Amino acid sequence: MLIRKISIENFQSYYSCNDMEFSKGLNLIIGNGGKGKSKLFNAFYWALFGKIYITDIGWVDTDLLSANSKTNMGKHEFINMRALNKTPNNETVRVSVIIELTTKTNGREIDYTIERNALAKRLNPDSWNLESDWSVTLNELKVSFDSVTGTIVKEREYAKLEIDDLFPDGIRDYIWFQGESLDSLINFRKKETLKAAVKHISYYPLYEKLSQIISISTDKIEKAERNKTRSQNKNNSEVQSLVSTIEISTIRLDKAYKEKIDLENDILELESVLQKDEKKLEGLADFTKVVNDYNQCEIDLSAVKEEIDKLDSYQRKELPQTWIMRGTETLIEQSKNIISTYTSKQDSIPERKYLENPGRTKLEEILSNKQCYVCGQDVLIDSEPYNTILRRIQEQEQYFKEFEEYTNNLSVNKKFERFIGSISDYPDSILFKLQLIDKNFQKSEGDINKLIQKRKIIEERKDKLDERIADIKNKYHVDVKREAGSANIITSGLRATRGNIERLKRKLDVTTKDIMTYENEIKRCQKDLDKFSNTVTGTRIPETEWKNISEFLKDVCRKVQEKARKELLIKIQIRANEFYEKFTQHDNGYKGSIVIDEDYSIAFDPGLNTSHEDRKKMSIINALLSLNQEALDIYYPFISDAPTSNFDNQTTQSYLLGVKDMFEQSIIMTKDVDMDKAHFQDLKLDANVSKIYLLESKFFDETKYNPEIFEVATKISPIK
Amino acid sequence: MEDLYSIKFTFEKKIREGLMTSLSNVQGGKYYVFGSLWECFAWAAIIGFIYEKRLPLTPPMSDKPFNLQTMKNNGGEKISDSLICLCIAKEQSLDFLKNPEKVISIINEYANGGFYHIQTMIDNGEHSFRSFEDVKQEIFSRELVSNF
Amino acid sequence: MSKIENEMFAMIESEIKQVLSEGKEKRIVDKRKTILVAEKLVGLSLANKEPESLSNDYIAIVESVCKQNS
Repeated sequence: MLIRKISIENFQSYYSCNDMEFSKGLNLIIGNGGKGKSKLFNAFYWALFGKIYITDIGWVDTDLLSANSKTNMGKHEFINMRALNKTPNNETVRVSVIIELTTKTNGREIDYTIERNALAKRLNPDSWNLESDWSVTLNELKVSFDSVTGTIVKEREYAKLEIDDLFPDGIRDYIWFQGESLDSLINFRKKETLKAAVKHISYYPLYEKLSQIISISTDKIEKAERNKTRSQNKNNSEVQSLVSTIEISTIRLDKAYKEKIDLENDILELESVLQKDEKKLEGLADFTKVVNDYNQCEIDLSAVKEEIDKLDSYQRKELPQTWIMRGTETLIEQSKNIISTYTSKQDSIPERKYLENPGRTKLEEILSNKQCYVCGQDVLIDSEPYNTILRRIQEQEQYFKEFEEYTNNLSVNKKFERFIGSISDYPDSILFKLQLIDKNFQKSEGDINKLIQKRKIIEERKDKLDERIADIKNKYHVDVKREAGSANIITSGLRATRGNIERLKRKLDVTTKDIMTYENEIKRCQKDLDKFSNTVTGTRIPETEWKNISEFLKDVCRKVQEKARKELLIKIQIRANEFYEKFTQHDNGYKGSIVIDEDYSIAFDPGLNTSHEDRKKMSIINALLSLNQEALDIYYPFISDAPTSNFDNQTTQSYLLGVKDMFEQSIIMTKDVDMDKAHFQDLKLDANVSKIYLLESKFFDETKYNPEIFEVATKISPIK
Repeated sequence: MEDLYSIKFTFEKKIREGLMTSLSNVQGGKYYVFGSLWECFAWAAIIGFIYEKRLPLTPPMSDKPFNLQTMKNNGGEKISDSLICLCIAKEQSLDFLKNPEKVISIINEYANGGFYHIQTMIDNGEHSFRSFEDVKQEIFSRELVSNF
Repeated sequence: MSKIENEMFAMIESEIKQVLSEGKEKRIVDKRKTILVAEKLVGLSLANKEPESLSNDYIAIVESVCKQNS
């Protein structure tokens, strides 16, 4: 098959009409992300199957798009935005993709034209980008091709049938290659994927068909032979009973075979349920322990925090009450000395220097009378007696003053003495406290540090447990809060399942024994029957010969089928390694090789990374496709969208070089080609590289820095 | 003679509103440096005594919320005792004790000097005194003279 | 005959010959007839019909081969 041309009109990022022509060999389409590469792939797929690819969801029929559904994409959103924007109200815009291809069957070439289109009518003059602004028709498919009678046009279901013929379901995923779906096609950890791939795209199914044909035929012939024997030996009761026995046993045998298969399947199912539940239980048990550990952590943590708080409070109390005094030892010592060497100054009682008699009153009387009341002499002012008496009064005054002072001082001093007494102990008790400061400080600091370390350790433990809890949740799909209590339910479920499995296994034993019994019975009867047909000539029936040949061929086919399967796997391995060699030829490190086992499993190599694994997978797929083509003489184009997103430029280069020689036509969309490098130039000049297109963004308003979605479209530029 | 323990301490308004407020967030949560004004005053006073920083007060003065009795009532008994002893050591005699006003005035001046010294330490980056840890650090980095 | 037909037939033919030459087959079969039938059978497997309907074609073939070559 050769794809010749695709014409895209108003589909996704392609505005108005865009054509691309393809030839044999490698057709390379380069475009960095968002420039229309995947949209081109979508265009192919939509034309043929009516679907586009939506990330995280998969292939979706555009007739089923809706803003309200899981796709969250409006019915109109697969149509080019600019086209929508430019359509006036009440007018219709057309979206279509046309593919022209040629097939070659039995030497004859047939040209096909496949067209899918839809119409969208604008309903709202004021708005154009909501789902409700448009009425979109269901898409229509039309397939037309040449025949001896002229051009035939098929539509609707008939057109779909044509497409199914052109691109059979099983092979679609492998020739239409979405880079993201690599893992689902070939998953090294699930050997069923390789088995399915072999089934879909290799010629091995033919052997299976062969076996089926011969198997069904043999049964029919055996039955025919029995009937003939019976009818030809109507009078031979022994023969009759032998034939009947064989018939009955055969029926029973068939039934037993079916039962065996059913039982085996049921057992497998139950065992898988068992496994799931056991894992769940494991997870729960794991989880309960983890939860307990976690709770313990929290308890420990708050205990430690409490202790730290206590120590902190202790420090905050001690510091202002005691620790701030640190360093005052010298001064306190000094004060101690001063206090201890203090001797109380004793005031001496004032001298009575004056004569007591007469008293002050009498003396003042003499002064005022100006006469001595004893001798009657005159005491005139400023006379000697006057001054003497004055002096005596002053001395008396002085003495009283001094005495008053003395008494006052006495009480003050007493108070003072008492005070000094009270403070005399201070220095010693302060010094005692000062002595202990450093020791207490260091101890409490040390304790705090230890507790902080302890807290750190507990917090780390808690973090790890947090991670574990999240892990378990992911691994076992256990929603802890909901299922924490369901361990018991699961356990009793397990018991029941195990019981059922036992029961079924016992049944299987019985059935297997029955099968043996019936087979032996049939063999025995057949042997006896053969004696009849061999000894009596003329009663030999032709069906016997057919039966013998067919049974023989049945065995042969079975053996050949198994042999072919093994050989096919070897062939795949060899061809895949050829591809792999090419894809990794620029790698200098360890690359390993592809090893496929007889049971379809692909050997895991821990020394390799994802890039190697992806290249291995691609090699296997390419090997399957190319072997298939060679064997069946049916050539499909290999169409791939960015299988290379995980690859570096070198690897992409190697990939393209490998692919271009292996397929008659390949259409590869990639973004990882460095056009300035020398090897790109080599690629460009290679004869097997027939077309190169570059996808870029076309801006309709050059001045706008941040254009709206409807102002940008994909521009296709042919480079080769 | 007024009782020594009842005379309230005096400090500059500037100091009260600046350093003392930032150091003793009495309304704050757990992370205050000092729990009350008198604690922070006592610390400043001791710093003044140890580093010989005595500074007369310049007005305006702030309100006077506490005295030695306040300290004794709130666990600061030994602090109150040592402030007295420190004054004795500086005055080199006991006579001044007869005059309680004088005693308090001496302590005021050493505290004032202490506060200014603390501010200097903050200004030249030695300490920030924004946390309890900072004060601890200051205390335990003082040099001890072991002479006994 | 296409490449795959050739391959399939070659394998079956060689298997038939080998088993018969080793004398392992209990049933009595004519080698020539068996090989002829096998050839036609391979052709059938490539036909675009279901095995069920092809089995009738097969039976017709085997009958014809046995009749012809008796």
